[in-house]
Amino acid sequence: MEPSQFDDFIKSNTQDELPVPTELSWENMNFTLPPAKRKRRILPWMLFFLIGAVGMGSGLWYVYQHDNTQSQPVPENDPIGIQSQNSKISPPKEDASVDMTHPQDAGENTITGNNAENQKTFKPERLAKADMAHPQDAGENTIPGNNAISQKTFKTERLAKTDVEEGKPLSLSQAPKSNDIESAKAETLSLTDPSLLDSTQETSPVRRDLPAPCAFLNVLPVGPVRSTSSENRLTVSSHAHADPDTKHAAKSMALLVSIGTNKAQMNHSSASLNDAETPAWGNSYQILLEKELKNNWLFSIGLGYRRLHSTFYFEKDLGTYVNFSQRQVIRQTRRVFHNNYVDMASLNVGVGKQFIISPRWQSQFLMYLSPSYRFRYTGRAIDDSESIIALGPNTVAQNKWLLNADAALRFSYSLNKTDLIVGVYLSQSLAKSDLFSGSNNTTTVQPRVFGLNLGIKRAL
Amino acid sequence: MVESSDQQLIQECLKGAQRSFKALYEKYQAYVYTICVRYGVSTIDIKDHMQVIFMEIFNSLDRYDATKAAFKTWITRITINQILHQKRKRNIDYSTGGSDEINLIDSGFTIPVDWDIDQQELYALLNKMPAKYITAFNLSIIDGYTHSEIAEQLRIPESTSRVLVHRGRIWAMKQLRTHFKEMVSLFDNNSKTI
Repeated sequence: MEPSQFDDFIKSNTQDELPVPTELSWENMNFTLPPAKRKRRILPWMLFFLIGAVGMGSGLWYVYQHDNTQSQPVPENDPIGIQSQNSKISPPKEDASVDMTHPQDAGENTITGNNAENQKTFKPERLAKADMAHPQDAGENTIPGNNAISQKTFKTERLAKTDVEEGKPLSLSQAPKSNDIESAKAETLSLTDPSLLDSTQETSPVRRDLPAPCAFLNVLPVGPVRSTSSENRLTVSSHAHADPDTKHAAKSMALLVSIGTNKAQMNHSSASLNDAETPAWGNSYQILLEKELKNNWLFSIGLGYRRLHSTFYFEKDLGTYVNFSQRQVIRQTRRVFHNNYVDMASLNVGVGKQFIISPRWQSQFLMYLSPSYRFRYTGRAIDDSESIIALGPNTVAQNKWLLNADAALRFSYSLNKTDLIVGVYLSQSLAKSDLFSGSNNTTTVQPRVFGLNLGIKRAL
Repeated sequence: MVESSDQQLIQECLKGAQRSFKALYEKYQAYVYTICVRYGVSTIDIKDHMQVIFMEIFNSLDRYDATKAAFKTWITRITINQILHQKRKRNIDYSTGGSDEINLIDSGFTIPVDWDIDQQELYALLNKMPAKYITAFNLSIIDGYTHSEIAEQLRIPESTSRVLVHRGRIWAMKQLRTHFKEMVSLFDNNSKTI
């Protein structure tokens, strides 16, 4: 018999499968099944960081766009508006011959330790030949221990010859930048024809006319408290909504830790001064426990901490004056700057829904109700006599509780028992909270916080 | 019920679906079991072998490339590799010092064309083959390995592989002849009785 014939015989008779004994059935075997296999993919990682980068970029863009619109809060009796209204008055020729002088030195007095800032701007409200006097003496009062910065700024213009001769309305050459201390400087336009000058020259035209309440006119230099670019910016540390789980990390209970940066709108209001709605920056920290419920619902509970830092001001128009001798239109505005901090702790309770995009990617949308306790507030406010007062444990009003409604949208990328999370959230305070409560003045805040956060979630 | 394709089962197994692991096991357990029997794995050890082989299959599913080989071929390789791995632990002596089996061959013996043998009987016969022949015999004659591959797997010289396969074949032919003669005589006796 040839070997090839034998080999063929063996092959042909070994093709069928033998019956398997029952002891080798699946139930009798003891397999330790491997967990779900995941291939390492670069693309999801890149996508994760891309989404994070886009989110952060969008947030920053939003913040800066918002800053541009909010950096100059416009009060109800906007001095700029008054200026433009008054500028339509066509002064007679003889008015234009008045010689005007600069009262700029009036704003250079200093009060030690004051952080609030008073700014006086003069605008052409009164064209009558009034005898004006500089109110600088009135601004020398001192408020001990006040961190606010007061500043008086005089906006003056000399009337252009052509305008006066042709009866054109007076106008300021440059609208005052109400929030820019450094730019709040006196500006002067000179008449080109000296013959138009009145012989009765006024050396201090504004001084006599300014109502200038003493408390308002405390003058401080622009201190090193903040840079001009960061003025009017409230730094609000609001709680970042830590993001719940992904499918793998939240199968039963998961712990989530997140940090975030926030951009908030702080609505400060005071009875005697104009409301100021100012932007703010802040940081937040949060730790959450999350449990996955049926049908991809999530329950989330945890603690959050946020620190708010706000620099903002109240503004009040003090009137507009004209120094005919100097051909200056002077507008006076008072601004009280604040540099305040608030620390809050919150209890966050929420529910949400989880959406599985892929085995590794999930998104979650959660709604929270977060009572917050304001356990510290330092800074300044305005009391009933319109004086700047320091806020502290004794002066802060009793209402230290805030109730926030929050919405959070998060994306998570699952690793082994750990999820990386990037998310955005919006937190709206449902009611105003008093910072100072007086009979005439009440200073309140009502933050609305937009935030970005990054977190890590770990299954317990 | 539509039977899931191998690829579907693999994908579901990779997602951790226990039902798919079970389906995969039930689909290929007879095939793996047959290979084990063919390579002479004892009844006592066969459950452990099956356990180890399927665990290796389950853990290696993510490395299976359907473009390189059929899934059954891939399973065959894993099974044989595991069997050989276990055999290596037993330090089988593959030396070819003795040559008495060669003299046992009856050159006049031929298997009738229409003669058939029950597969279990054949495996029963082959399992009596000496341990040092059966692996090379199976690798070469049934699974189609070349002698160089067998030499690499068994870590022996290629010439030794040739000798082992040859002697295994002679040994099997002798067993088959004996079996055939027994069957013929049994048939003749039955005929006379009838």
